[in-house]
Amino acid sequence: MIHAQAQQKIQVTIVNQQKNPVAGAKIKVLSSGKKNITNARGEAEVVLNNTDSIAVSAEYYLAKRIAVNPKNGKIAVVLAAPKPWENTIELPWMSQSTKYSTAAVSAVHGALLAKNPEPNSSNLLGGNLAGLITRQNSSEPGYDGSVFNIRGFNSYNSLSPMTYVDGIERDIQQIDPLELETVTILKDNAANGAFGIRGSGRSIMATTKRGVANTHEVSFVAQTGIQYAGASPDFLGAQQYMQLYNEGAVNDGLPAKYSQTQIDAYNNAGRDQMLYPDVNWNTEMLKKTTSQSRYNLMFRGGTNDFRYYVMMGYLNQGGIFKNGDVNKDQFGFSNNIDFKRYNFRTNLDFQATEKLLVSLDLSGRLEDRNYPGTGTATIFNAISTAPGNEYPVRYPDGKIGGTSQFQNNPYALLTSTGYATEFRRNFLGTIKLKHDLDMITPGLSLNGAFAFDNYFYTNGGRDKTYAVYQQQADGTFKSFGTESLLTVTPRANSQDRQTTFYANLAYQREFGEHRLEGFLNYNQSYQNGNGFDFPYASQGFASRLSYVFNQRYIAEFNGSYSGSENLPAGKRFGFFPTFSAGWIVSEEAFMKNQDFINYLKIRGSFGYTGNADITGVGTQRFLFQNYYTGGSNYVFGNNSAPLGGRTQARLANPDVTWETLRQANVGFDLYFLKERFKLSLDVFKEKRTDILTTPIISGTMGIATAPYNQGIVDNKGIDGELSYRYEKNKIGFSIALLGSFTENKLVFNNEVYRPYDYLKRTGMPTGSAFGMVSQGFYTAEEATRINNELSVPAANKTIALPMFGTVKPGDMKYKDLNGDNLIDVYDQTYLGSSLPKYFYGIRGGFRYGNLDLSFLFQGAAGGVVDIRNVSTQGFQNSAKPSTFVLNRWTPETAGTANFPRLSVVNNGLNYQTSDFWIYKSDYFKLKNVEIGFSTPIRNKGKVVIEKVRFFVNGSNLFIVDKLPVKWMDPEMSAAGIGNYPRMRIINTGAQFTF
Amino acid sequence: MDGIIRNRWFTTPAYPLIFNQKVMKLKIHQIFIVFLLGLGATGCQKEFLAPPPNNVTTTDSTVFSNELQSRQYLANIYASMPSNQLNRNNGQLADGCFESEQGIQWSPFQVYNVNAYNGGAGNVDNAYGTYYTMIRKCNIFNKNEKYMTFTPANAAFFKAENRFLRAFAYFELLKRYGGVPIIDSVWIYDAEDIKPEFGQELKRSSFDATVKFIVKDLDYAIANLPWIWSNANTDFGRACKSAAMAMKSRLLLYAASPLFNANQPHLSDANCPDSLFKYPTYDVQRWKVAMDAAKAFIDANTTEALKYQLYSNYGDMFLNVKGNANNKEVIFSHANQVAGPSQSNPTLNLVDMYDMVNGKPITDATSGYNEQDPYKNRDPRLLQTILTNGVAWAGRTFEPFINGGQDYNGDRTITGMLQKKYVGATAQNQGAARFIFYRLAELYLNYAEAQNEYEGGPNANAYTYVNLVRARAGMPVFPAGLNKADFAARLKKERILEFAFEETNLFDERRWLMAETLDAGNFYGFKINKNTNGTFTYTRSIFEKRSFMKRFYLYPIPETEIFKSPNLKQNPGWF
Repeated sequence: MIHAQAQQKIQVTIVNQQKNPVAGAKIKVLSSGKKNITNARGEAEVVLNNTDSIAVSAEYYLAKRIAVNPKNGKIAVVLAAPKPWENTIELPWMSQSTKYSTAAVSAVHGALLAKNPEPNSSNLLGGNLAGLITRQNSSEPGYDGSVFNIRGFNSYNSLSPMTYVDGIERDIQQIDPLELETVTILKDNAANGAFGIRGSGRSIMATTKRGVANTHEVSFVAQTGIQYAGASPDFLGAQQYMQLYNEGAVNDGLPAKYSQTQIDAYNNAGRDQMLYPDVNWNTEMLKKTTSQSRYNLMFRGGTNDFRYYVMMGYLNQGGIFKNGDVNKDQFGFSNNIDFKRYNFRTNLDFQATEKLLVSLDLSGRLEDRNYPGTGTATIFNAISTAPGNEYPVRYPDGKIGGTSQFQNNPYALLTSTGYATEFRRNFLGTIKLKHDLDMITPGLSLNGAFAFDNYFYTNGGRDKTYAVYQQQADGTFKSFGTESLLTVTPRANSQDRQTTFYANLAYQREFGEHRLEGFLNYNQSYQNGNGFDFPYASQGFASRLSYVFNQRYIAEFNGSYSGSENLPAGKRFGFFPTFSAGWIVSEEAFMKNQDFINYLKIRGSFGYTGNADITGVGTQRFLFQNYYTGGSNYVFGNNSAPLGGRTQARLANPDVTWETLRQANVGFDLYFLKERFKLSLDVFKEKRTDILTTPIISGTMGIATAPYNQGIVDNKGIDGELSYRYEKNKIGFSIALLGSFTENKLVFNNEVYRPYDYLKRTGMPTGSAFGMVSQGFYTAEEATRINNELSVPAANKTIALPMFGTVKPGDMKYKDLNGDNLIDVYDQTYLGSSLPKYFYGIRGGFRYGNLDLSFLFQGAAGGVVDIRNVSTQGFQNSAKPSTFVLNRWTPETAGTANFPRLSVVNNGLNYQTSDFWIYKSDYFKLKNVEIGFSTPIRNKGKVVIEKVRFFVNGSNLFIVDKLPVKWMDPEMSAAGIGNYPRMRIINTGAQFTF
Repeated sequence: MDGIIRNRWFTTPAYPLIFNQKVMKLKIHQIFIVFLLGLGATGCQKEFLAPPPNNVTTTDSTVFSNELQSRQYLANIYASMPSNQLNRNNGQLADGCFESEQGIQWSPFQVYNVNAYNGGAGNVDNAYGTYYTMIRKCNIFNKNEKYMTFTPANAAFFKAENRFLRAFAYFELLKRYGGVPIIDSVWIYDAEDIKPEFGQELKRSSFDATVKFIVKDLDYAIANLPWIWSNANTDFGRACKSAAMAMKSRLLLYAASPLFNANQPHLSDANCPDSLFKYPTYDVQRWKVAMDAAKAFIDANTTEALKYQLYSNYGDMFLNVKGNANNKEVIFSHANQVAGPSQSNPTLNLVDMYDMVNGKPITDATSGYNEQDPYKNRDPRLLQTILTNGVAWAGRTFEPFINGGQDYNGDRTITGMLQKKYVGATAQNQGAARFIFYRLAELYLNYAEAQNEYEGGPNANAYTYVNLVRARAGMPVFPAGLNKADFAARLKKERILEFAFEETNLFDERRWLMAETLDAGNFYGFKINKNTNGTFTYTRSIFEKRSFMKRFYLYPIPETEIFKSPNLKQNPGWF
């Protein structure tokens, strides 16, 4: 039975603090549950009872609930945007209020990341976070993740940042970008301190979206994109290949391989293509484009007591190979790469009791991957080395071409070696509880989490071998290799798991001018990886204590007492303290009478974190343990089986301990000119000591030792962000510059004996490239002189003798740096650092009415890259020449050549690491652009769609670099040559909000 | 555009309760219990961070109190002996002397040949680290003998085999470096010593002391091992008394030779006391000791029940290294097969040393030598050792000729020849045999050399033994009545050819102080052209000019080791 109540229709206008209307704000009538959305003027009509309340919410504004007296007939609601410093940041174990935080962090909103169509979330971050350095090593679907580094390298052992999702150590690569709420990088020890023994690699904290009270939103995003393969090397055609091969053979003193008749045959376009093929393997094997598509359905909303975020996502990425479906009809499998990902997430928060908030996050991921039976890198290497003149792809009857020397027909590797599948089934769950303990003392609460992650992997597929055929002069065929039937590949499974538990006793309270905030934490995690590996366990206590006086003077302590089982019993736990301080200058009285600076905080930190993840050092775990292991076997007797060996393993380091990172950081956060400008800058200096390092020991010891904690690396740098943001009526504009400069120095690593200072790695950046200094090419006279003086003692030579093989005219000449008349490993010097010193992004956005545009440029500078590979080295390592070698040395071109003489046998002299091959790896690229158009749809009749947004976006759109060949990407130098090509994506989509 | 980060824990507003009363009754202490259970679950585990797994906790006593594991440990020491004669560190010892030249690429030994060895860049065959690794293994075994309470007879044999292997490793060092640091205990590493000065106290022992140390280990092995392991099917390859006696014979022969047994050093160096690499003065008695050691072996071989005999077919011997039922010449060999293709190109300088089968050198106008058919009627060992043009091998004919020969490019022979000894015929250039360290023929030649030097001329036994070796090869006997010098010269050539590619020539040319003549000057190979009528034209061509510096007589201690242990004196001429 429904009571008829007095109802009245009124108009509500929603404006922001600048009195501008807020379009798209949601108004919900609490009595009836009915809702409406404001139009472009910020207006909406609602029907209210006599005494009623409305809840108003809008993106980027603080939600508001007000009681309404409908008698007025018309009301205006002002929505306040939170000040940029009035939020919280993700820190170890517990978030903290940004305003009073002393940590150096950089954060980015998930909505910005999702503007990039790259499906792998790790590829979205580069250029978006000041201090984060990324490198993507491959574009192959499913294996296209970026590696991260924060603030440069402070170790010569590999050490990557830890990644956490919602506070639990998890990978972020295959998280759907639309799930991400924020990504924060923790840069200094004030930020990482509570991670203690796991904190010094620094951390990336991602959070996922959660429900919002008093809203209900359903949205569906469909997008489809085209991936364009990056440029392929310009390999020479068949005729030129043969001419150059002959030239190289003659240079090596060998007979020419191809007859002039053979070469001339190619002048005739109507020649027999089977006998005189000219295969361009790149176009033969690779499509220009492939497709990807994504669909996401999201539900987000809730009440005050129950909030939810539910997301389902589907991704499909296709592979770049042509002829991937040739086995489809007969055998039912594809040879192409195919990656399907199904993500789901359910984040629930509910108020179980007045004081108990329960969160249950369940997320999962299914990945179905299909690959050719031969590894992608092997196929690409075959494409990049297969000569075009030796055999046709296939003969008219379908026989695969090949010769006894060339059996790696790329087409056969793709289509005739079976296929491989991978299935991943990952299920991750977290339960979090938060209980107010006001009854004990106000401001006290207890919260904690238990997480269980399960990673299941299995693979399968079928294997096959094939034969290649060579047509003989008489028209018959000769075959090489054996054709086999498809056989089932033995299946491999693994089930990795991780359980994490932590509990925080937290306290936050203000007493007059004093503000206290902090927590005490216990945490443990247990990872069982790779099936049978001995589990990895870590355990610790952590604490943060922050004291603020008079809202402006901050003193903070972060610390951890934590341990790792990689260390010997009794020496497993260490204490890692960090002290930090802040001064909110803008709160001072003398700042009150100005409106230029809105917020200014100066902060500094100094402290210690550790690293006991010693498994990346190339040795085993448990370095403190001496033991015996299997060794080379030996056969006794005429016909006996080998007797297994037994030998002492490397000597233990009984005192192995954690590496320590000592770091000082000074920075400030400044908002000025109506908060439109933001400037954050951090300067840091740090020293990592006790880096695990192989000691120098006498060869008479007769055994290697475990690494000892001896190494030292200094690192320093600057990172910061300057941004500007303008919003008025229909126009919005923003631009941000983010960047970092880092420089490190190897202080001590037990460097091996180097007789000359210029050979020494100590004092140089880690990751330095050392090589020869090239000086053009040997003339015929010089080569003769060298060879005539072979038996002359070095001191009496008139020209230095290279120790890398016999010298011929046109070979690369190197500088004899030590002047001993021998060119050898003692003549290698510093040629640059492989790690870029500068890494930056320029991010911008523009909105006019319903139209929006955003872009991200990203760049790196100050590093070098070695361009040696099969596309630049002529015939070296059985490769084929590209246009890069065209201006090679010949007796005629000796004066102008910029490439050494060609050689068809491996040349030990010309391909030494030298400055000839080392180029600056600087690049500047348009990482992504998005253009969108939104149209609100009036809610009339049966149309339930509230808003539609159409968008077009793209990634990797253009790149400027300093490499001499246009087909090489300085970030990913093997892409498209020895590995999957770099993909450019153009993507279109629509988002429907209901 | 700043990210708005929602506060999850601190700013939760006090929401009205909408759940039913049952939930409301959940009391605070119940919530605590949930958390305490969580904590307790972990607290109950006595140690959350667990001790390491037992595959990394094996100790000395677990290994050496177990007979099988001790045997496996010993097997691993055997496996430390150099096995890959065809590709030792990308080259052969043969490439470091006049025997051959590395074809495919520059081998580490090439630094000797082109006079470019600067002592640091190349550690040639990695001997220093390799053999100290083996010595450490022996010392560990030695130290843990106290745990070997299993079958006493076996334990005694193991101990003696271990001593033999330690002697083996030290002898490899001695013949390269002279006296070396003698380490007979297990060194531990003290982290406090981590500085360039590490090993300050490390010093080389004198040549004399090093020889004595090796002899002591060998005498222990001789006293405690059987002459020959009677069951070849299970024990062939194990060290035995005869192997220890053979090694002792070679060791004492080397020690008596001019490089070590002389009044004047081959090269004086103020930084290196002579006693580190040679005896202080010449003593003819050392030849007697060497002669006696060889004779002791030969005599024992006549009295023991199981006897060594020269294998009838020289060429087959190296592909048929088995227990003495099959091949009675092999005394000690490496059990693992020689692997990898031969990349060594025999030099014409070596080939020219093979006489005609009539016993005349090819330089003799009456010898019948024809350079255009150079392999005809030569010492049969030539074709059994070296693969030459036109020889059927591995299912086809070897074709190293320039104009169209299949192997000219493919196998990259720059001398027109490849090594055949030890290389199995089953696959092109593929090694297929065990490498022989000691065989009976050497003991005969050891005796003859030492006897001739000691007594100033050959006796009847010396003739007998040398002629046994020559007869087996198919060569005429040495002419009677040779004086000491002539006999020595012929014997040296005999030794070079008999043991070509058996890793002795590099050391023999050095201990005889003959490397300056044998390993210097023009080095020749054949350039072969096939004529239209099917015959071949052989052209002698220089592929390399070599010189041999006096400092090459001994390897340099690796520069990095001197850096770590500055009191380790470098060999003369090196820096």
